[in-house]
Order: sequence, then structure tokens, then C-alpha cells
Amino acid sequence: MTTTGDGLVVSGVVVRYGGLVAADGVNLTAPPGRVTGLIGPNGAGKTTTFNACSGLVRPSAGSVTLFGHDVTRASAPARAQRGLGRTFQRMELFDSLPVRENVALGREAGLAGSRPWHHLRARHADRDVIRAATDDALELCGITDLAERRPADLSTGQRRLVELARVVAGGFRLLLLDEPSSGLDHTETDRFGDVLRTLVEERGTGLLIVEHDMALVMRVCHYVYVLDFGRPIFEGAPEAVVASDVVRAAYLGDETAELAEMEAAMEAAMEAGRV
Amino acid sequence: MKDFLPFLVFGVTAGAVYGISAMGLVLTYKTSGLFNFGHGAVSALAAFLFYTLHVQHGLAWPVAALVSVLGFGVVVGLVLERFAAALSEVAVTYKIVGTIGLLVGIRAVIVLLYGEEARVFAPFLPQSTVFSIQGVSVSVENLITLGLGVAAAVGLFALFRATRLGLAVRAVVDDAALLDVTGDDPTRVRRHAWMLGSVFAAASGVLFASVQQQVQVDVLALLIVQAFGAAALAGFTSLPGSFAGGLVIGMAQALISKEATKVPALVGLDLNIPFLVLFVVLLVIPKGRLVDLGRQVKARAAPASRLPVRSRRAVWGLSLLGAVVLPHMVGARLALWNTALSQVVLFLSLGLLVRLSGQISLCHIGFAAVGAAAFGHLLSWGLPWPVALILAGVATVPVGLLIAVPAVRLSGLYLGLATLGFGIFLAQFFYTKSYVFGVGQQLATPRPAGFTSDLRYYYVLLALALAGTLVVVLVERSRLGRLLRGLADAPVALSTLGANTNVSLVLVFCLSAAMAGVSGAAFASLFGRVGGFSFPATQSLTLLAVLVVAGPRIVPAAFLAPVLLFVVPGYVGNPHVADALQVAFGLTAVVVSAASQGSLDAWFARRALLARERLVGPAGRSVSLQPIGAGR
Repeated sequence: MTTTGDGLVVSGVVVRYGGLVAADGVNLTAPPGRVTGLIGPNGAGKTTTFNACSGLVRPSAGSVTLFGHDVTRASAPARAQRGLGRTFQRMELFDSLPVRENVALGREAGLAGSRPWHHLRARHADRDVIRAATDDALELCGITDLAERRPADLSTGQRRLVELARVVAGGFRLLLLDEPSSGLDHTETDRFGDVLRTLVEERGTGLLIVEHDMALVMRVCHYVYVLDFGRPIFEGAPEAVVASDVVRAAYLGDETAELAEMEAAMEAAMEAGRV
Repeated sequence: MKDFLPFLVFGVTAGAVYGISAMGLVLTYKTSGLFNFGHGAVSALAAFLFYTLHVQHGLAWPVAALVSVLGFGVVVGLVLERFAAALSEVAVTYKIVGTIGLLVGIRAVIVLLYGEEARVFAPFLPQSTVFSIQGVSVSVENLITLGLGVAAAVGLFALFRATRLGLAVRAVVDDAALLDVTGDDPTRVRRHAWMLGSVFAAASGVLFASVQQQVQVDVLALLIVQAFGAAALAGFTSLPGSFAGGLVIGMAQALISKEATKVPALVGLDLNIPFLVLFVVLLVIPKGRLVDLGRQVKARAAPASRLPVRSRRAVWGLSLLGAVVLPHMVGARLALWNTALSQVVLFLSLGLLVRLSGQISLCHIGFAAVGAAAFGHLLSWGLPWPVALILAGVATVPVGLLIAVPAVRLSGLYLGLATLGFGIFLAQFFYTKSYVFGVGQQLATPRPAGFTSDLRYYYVLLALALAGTLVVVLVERSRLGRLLRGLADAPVALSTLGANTNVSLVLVFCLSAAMAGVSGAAFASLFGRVGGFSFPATQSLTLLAVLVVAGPRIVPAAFLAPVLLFVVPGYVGNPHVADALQVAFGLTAVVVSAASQGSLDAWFARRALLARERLVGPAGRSVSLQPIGAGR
């Protein structure tokens, strides 16, 4: 059982784009020290949910709390200041800066915050903090040898690692990772899995992962939420997700699955998940 | 009511012209994703063509209209479609710079051929009264203009709803690739849209010249801002809405010009309604409604310097030495170099925005003007020269803050529009007021005591340029510099990392404005007195074009750009060469923008590959398709 004051808690979030309801009553909890998965077919509303969590879209209903603070109306930087970091499906790297500075900016952006004076110049102590965080993140992600390269010259897998190192350097207590393994080869995916495990087990970071690679989901996630057409359809341990007919139907587009049956299964699953 | 009627008749007529222009603009923007800042320049070119044919060569007006509206519009449309295709794969900043280059180039062509003075343009449409309402006569010209506008709006609406081409145009907006698959060629559709849009631009130019009874290059080229205002009222998407927006702006202008006869403070405001509307709409319209159309491309970062640190230091040292001895080598041309040197800080401040932060400012000369005016007033209060210079920069900061507001809300295209509107508003409304540049536009701005000779003032300016360079280098190396680079590359990522990007934006706009203000003051001091005419709003566009032409590095470009802009034409002497150079700047800015994502490199690489294949032998022989340069 998780306490509501812990980690990221999304309850009843609804996001509309014009007439389209991209997220319709999404509930999920991502506590620290655990890997939480968020899966679903294309267009299920996974990235929308991420955007609602990190403050890039404004939900029309529902709430988002972060370590006990209601951040539903807070800006993206304010949420980051409360310990929430994220990566992007389409990697958003600083292409004009070398890898080291990309990673360093992960920490420095948070130190700059929203005070004009802190944007203008770094405090003396900041310099050491940033350097330590950068070296540590580069090392953890195994990209120390790429530090002087430009992101534009790197492979997709390396770029994903740079983006991961950037949020690691940020020192966030909770990370949202949007399809971290897409475009990675097998060895890179394995490396990625190792980094994630270190983060969770040794540093107590909480992870919420959107992922298409089911093998990775099964390997790293402790708990999985399934979305379809913006609605939550299942949640539970990875094994339960694999066994679920509702989830299988959603992925295969099985139209014979009765709506009532799905809802019953969903309710049962919710109950199962809470107990 | 009766008092208002004559103004309303005029307002509706002018509004119909704005509406026609706005529809052409929106049509091409919707189909190609390229917002054409040069739309008004096309109008101007058509009006001058009509002037040449009808007024200078006595051709009957229907023939002249046919040639300069339909013929000219179609040809220009075909050219512009290619132009838009070349700019389709570049970042939005370069799309803006590219079309600004078009505007600067076409404007210079017109100045080269016809000069900057207004020429009388007798209305060619019949002026006879059709009917009168309460004694106010409505002429054939009024009716034809309004009728053309309404017909165009209704016609376009019908075209979109009822024809195959209209359907294809709507499809090309949604998904060009998908349309391609269904068998309709998106390029063909865009070609039609550009032809229609250019015909509209040409028609509005000729009609506007007739309404204004004169042809003058800037009045016509900036007709675009009236069109921007009209399009803004329709959210930049609806065609009939744009026409209605044009009518609203035309009428509002006419009504305010009537009120201005009673309230002196309003004088000049009527001319500026479109700019104000544009600025205000961009400030209040919900952000979600302003979506940049077209492919969103991230700007490619400038590559790091290839020169080793030592060579770079040597280059810097030699350049500095050159700058110190320069006044002793150039003789009587020193005044030219002084003018150029006074602009270095201005280009540095623009580089901070455009090159470092990925922002855009089309009102930069406005900052310089505010700084110059503040400087004059501060000197008149008896403040010492250096203090007044610094305070002039400080006084410009609030203006920078004002521009930072749209910069925080808007990005790319819409920021460009807002700053363009603001710059023209400043130039037309504020510069003319006696409290800005004094009565008769003769604000005294003497040089500092002891440095009044050109030679001595040169060193003052050099010191100032070096101080500006130092500021830029410090900013680039500071936290702010890193944040601004991050902001240019991936603003969303930066904000999710915890930096409030609005703070960095406000800071850089304030800093840039302050530097521009200082530069304006130093420039004003060159001449001893200054007026608004020294800071024409169109100069902001030229500055941007020249900055881009001068290269991607902020500091070298800031020194090279003013040399290109002031010194080179001065050495050539012939005034026509200066205009020809402006044409070259405009066109080069277009090319540089189109090549900003490396398309030119790719083109050269393909050519080289083909050339090598020809050398190696006919197709079929084993030809290695390694990229050129891989083996060297």
C-alpha cells in the first residue's frame, strides 16, 4: 500500500484537445524506489498523461500531486523544482552544446530556477555541485568518453543515453521516461536496463516509464498501468498484465470483447491492485 | 452620424483593399506554411508596374491592370512557389529571415528604379458619383473596390467548398504527403495557391495606389502590416474572416482619423491602427490558436570554430591592431568607418537575440531610436556624456521588457509579426512627437568634450564596440549564455529541467534592448543632432538580413555587417550601387536562409558525386558511392 503523500499521484486526469479526449480519467501512482510502467496501443494517451504530469498540458479535470503537494496548476519548471524530471519520445537535446554541457545543463537549469539573478551568474558553490553531478551522471550512463562530442554526431542509442544522463544529473527524485528504448539495439537496451536498476535500487529514484518493448517492461517494471483510448483498462503486476484478456484485446483490436466484460475485468483488476 | 459617413465610405474602400491583401497572404500561408513578409513588396512591384504602363507609357488602364495584376501575379506566383519550396525545410527563424530578405531585395529594386519619393498616381477608376447617402457621394471607384473584395472573398469561399482544387488545397494544409499518395500533386496545388495569392497581392497594390493617389515604395511594401492586422483578426486562418478583418481595420482607421481632428494626441494613431491591432491581438489571442503551420524544423546549430585557440588569438590580436591603426589609413573616409563602428553594438545586440537565443526582433532600430532620444534628453539635463550614454541604455530596458511580453507568449513567426508591428508603430507614432525628438526633429546630441574630431570619436566608438564584445563574450560563457543556447535548441526540455525560461527570455530582451539603446545614442552623437528620420522602421529588416549574411558567429558578424552595410557602398560612391547592394543583401539572405539546414552542402555534394561518376565512366561500371570527402 502506498501513501498518497508519496511520489507522483495522478487522479482522474482528463485532457481534451478540441473535441478529442486524449486522457479520460487516468489514475496512477508512481512512488519512489519503484519502476512503474505505463503501456497501451498507439494513441492510448500515454504521452498526453506524461505531459499532464510534467505541466506541458493543462488537464480539464483531475489533479496531480507530487510528494504530497498539489501541482495541478504549477508550471513545468515548478514541478521540476519539486523533483520531477522527464525525457522525451522525440529526444530534445541541446544540439549546439557538447554532451558534457548538455548533461551539466540538466543540473544548472534547476539551479537557475526562476530568480533573475540566478540566471545571470552561478554561485561559486554551484560550480562544484554541477561538476560532480555531471561526472556522476556521465559515468553512470557509461558515456564519459562521449563528453566532448556533439549530440548531432551520435547514434540514436547514444543520444538516448545523453538525455537520460541529463535528467540523472538533475537529481530528480522521480523520472518520467518516454519510450526510452525506442531506437536502441539489444546491447544498448541492456545497458539502459542496468542504469535504470541502479537508479531505483541504489538511489531510490522512482521511475514512470512509457515503453513499447514488452520484454523491457516485464524485466524492469514492478507495476504496470494499461491505457486504451485515453481510458485506464488494467493495472497490476507485469505477469497479471500479460495474462489479461482485456489487455490482449486492446492490443489486438479484438472487437468481440464485450464492453461490460472489459469494465468488469477492469474493476476486478482495480480491486486486486489496491488490496 | 452624418459627420462620420464620408470617413466610413473611405474606410470601407481602404478596408476592402486590406482584406484582399490579407486573403492572398492567408491563402499562401495556409497552403505552404510560409508566412510571406514580402507579400507587400509584391503589391508594391505590381503597383509600380501599373504606374509605368499606365501613367508613364499611356497604356489604357484595363490593359495595364490585366498585365500588372493577372500576368504579373501569375508569374510571381510561380517564382514564389519555388521560393517557398526552398524554404520549406528550414527552421522558422530562417523562414522569416528568408521572406524578409525577399522584402528587402524587392524594396531595393524598386528604390533603384523609381527612387524613394512618392509619385502622384491619379486614380484610374471612374470617380463619378453612383449615388449619395445623406449628401455623401459614393463613387464608381468605391463600389468597384468593395465589389472586387467581396467577390474575391465569396469566390474563394466557394472555391474551397465546391471544387476539386479547393478540396486539394484544404488537403495540402492537413497532410501534403497523404495528398500526394491520392494522386493530387501537392506542388501543383501550392502553385495554384501562390498564383492566386500573388494576383491578390498585385490587385491590392494597384488598388491601394489608386486609393492613396500616390505610389511610394514603403507605403506599399508595408501594406503588408495592414494585411497582417486583418489576418490577425481572423486568427491567421479564415479567408472570409481576413476580408472582414480588413474592413474592420479600414473603418476603425477612418473613424479615428475623424476623431483626431478634435483630439491632437490621437494624430497619427489612425495610420497605426493595423499595427496596434496586430500587436494587441497577438497579446490577447489564446496561445493554442496561434500554431505555426508548415514543417517544424529545429535550427541547425552553428559548428564550432575549427581554428585552434592559438590561431584564434592571433586573428583577434591582428584585427584589434588593424582597428587601432585604421583611422590613419583611410583618410577622409573615416566618417564612414565611424558610422559603421557605431553600429557594432547594435549588431551584437541583435546577434544575442537571433544567433544565441533563437529569437527574432523586427523592431531593433526602434530600440536604437529610443536610446538616442533618451540620450538627447539626458544630455540636455546637463548629465556628463558617459553617464548619459549608460542611462540611455537603461532607459531602453522598459521597451525591451514590453517586447519580452510577446516573446514569452509567442514564438517564431508570431513574435516576428508582433515586433514588426511594434517597430512600425514606434516609427510612425512616437518619433513624430515633439516630446521624443524635439520640435522639428532636431534633438541635440553632441559628441563628448575633447573627442569631437572624427579621429578621437573613432576611438570612443572602438572602445564602446570592444566593451559590447566583452559583454557578449561574458554572456556566452555565463550561465545565462548556456540557458539561452538551451532555449534556442530545446525550450521545452529546458523548462522541464527546472529553469523558468521566461526569466532568461526577459533578461536577454532587456540586455539586447539596452545595448541597442547605447548604440543608438553613440550613433546619434556622430551627427550632433538627431531625428526620427535616422531610424526608419524598414532599417530593422535590413539589419536582420545583413546580420544573417555576415555569418553565424555573433562577434565577427557584428563587425562585418556594418562594414558591408555602410563602408562598402561609401567606398563605391555611386548611390545606385548602395541600392544594388541592398538587393544583393536581400537575395543573399534568402540563399543563406534556404541553405541554413545544409541543403546547399548536400546539393554541392550531389553535384560533385555526379561529376566524379562522369569521370569514372558510364553507368554500369562499378562506381563507389562513398560520400565525397570521406577518403581525404
